[in-house]
Amino acid sequence: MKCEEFLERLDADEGWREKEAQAHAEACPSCREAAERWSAASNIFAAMKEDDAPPFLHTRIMARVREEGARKPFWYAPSLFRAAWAGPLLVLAIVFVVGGYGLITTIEPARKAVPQSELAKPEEMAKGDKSIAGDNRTPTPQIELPALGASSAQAKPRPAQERKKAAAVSSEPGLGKRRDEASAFAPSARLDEAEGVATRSAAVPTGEPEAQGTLSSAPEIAIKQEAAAAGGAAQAPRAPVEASKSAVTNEAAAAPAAPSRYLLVDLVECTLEAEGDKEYVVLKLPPAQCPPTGQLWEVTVAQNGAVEVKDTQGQGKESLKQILEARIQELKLLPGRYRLGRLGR
Amino acid sequence: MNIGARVYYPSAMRAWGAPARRLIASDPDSADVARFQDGDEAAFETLVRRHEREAYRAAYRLLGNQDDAQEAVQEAFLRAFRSLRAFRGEAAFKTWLTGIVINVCRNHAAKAEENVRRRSVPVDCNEDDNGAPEPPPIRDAAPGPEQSALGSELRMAIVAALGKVGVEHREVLVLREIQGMEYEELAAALNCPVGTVKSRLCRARRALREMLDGVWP
Repeated sequence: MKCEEFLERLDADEGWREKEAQAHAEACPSCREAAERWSAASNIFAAMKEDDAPPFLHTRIMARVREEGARKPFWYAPSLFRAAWAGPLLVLAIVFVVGGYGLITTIEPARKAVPQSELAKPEEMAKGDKSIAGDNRTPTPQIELPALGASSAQAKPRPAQERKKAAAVSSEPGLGKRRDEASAFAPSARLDEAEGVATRSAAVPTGEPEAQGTLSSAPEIAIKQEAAAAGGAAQAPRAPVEASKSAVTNEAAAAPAAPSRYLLVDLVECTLEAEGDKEYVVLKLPPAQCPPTGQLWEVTVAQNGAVEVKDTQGQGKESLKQILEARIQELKLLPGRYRLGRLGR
Repeated sequence: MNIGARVYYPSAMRAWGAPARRLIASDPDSADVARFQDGDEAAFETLVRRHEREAYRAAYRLLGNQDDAQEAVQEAFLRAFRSLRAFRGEAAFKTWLTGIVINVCRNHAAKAEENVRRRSVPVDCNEDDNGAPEPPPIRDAAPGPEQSALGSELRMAIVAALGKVGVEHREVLVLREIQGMEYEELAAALNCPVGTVKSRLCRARRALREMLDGVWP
């Protein structure tokens, strides 16, 4: 073995204590001296393992650690999710959820009970056709729907300011400006409103007696009849419908203590707008007679009061024509061309 | 398909502090580490008490200054406290802590070297060939009275030589010769392969032996 190999083994601390290496060290004074020196150094290193740490080292370390622990942000602390916090947080979350649901269910019926406040929003009309609803459109006043065949005194009274405004508009000369829908417009009659029930429906008696609280307890069969009645209204002549409405009104006025079963017919709000004009009238029509959402039907009022209604395909609408002809005096429509569209909601 | 018994934790879970419980079975600190990760912060004090002396010795031999060593050990345990929740147990806690101590000591040494460079150089200051001032000598504050004069002299010579070898050599010498760590532990603490550790250790011993040649009687 050569000295270089022995020193390599010594530096690597591998194999320099083997017999072959020891034999070389015995023969080579320099390698033996190097090995002895390294052994002495190893002993000194080993003695260094016993060096003691300064006093209070543990105290200082833990002081720093505790200071760090106290500075932890709240979201880092695992105790946030422990029982001490989990209980109140859970209760708080439940209160928010239940309270929010209760608030919504309280507000929603109240909002539905006053639908007129939503009827005259011009921005809602713009949903159907932007050509109708320009930015400078004049919103229609709120339209109050009187009860079917009932006198205006039975209807829900309007605010004084609104009545004054509507009267001023009605007195304006020229093409049918802002006006209230006439009470004789059969599908829009609302017996329920006259009775203080907040729904937008037409009520048609079926002739069968029923206990008090008819609207909320109306049987399901009545709803089906309603659909049938609404579908038939599109084809049936106008007069029988109005006759039945009058009968309802008379019956309701004559015998309020014995309410009948009512058919509920949902009405759809539509706007009738004069071409080139900025004002419009809000009508309430049965769904079967309304233009589909987004479509505008053309309504022409002749000098003699005849009405012609055409859809987008140019096809006439006879049932709607009859309704409008019956209402033309009350609507005070002047001869000319109008557009009929569904009021977007 | 045999996927073994390894449990894979997505990085998203680890980001939220969920530790991967793959602590090695032979680690005597695994129980305390698990207790700490479960929220028992008192377990950390047990770990400190068990390892503070070794950590201090390593820091002291690496930095050569008691004050700096104390500061470094405190900083190292503080870092360990902050990141122990994310400790995945791939190495022993002692090895992991030693790695933190080494990193802290490197930062301290770099700051000390920067301070020396910024300091104005006296006229009689020793300078090396590059003109840079020599680093402050490493002192040995603990020569025992029982030690012989020769042993004390050799000890002081070894301590002085440790301060003169490079940082990498000093690290492997301290961890291997003083701390008594195995090659695998050294590799984990220094974050390098075992072969690199061995070659680095070989060069460090040779450098130390050459430095001590003129010191031996």
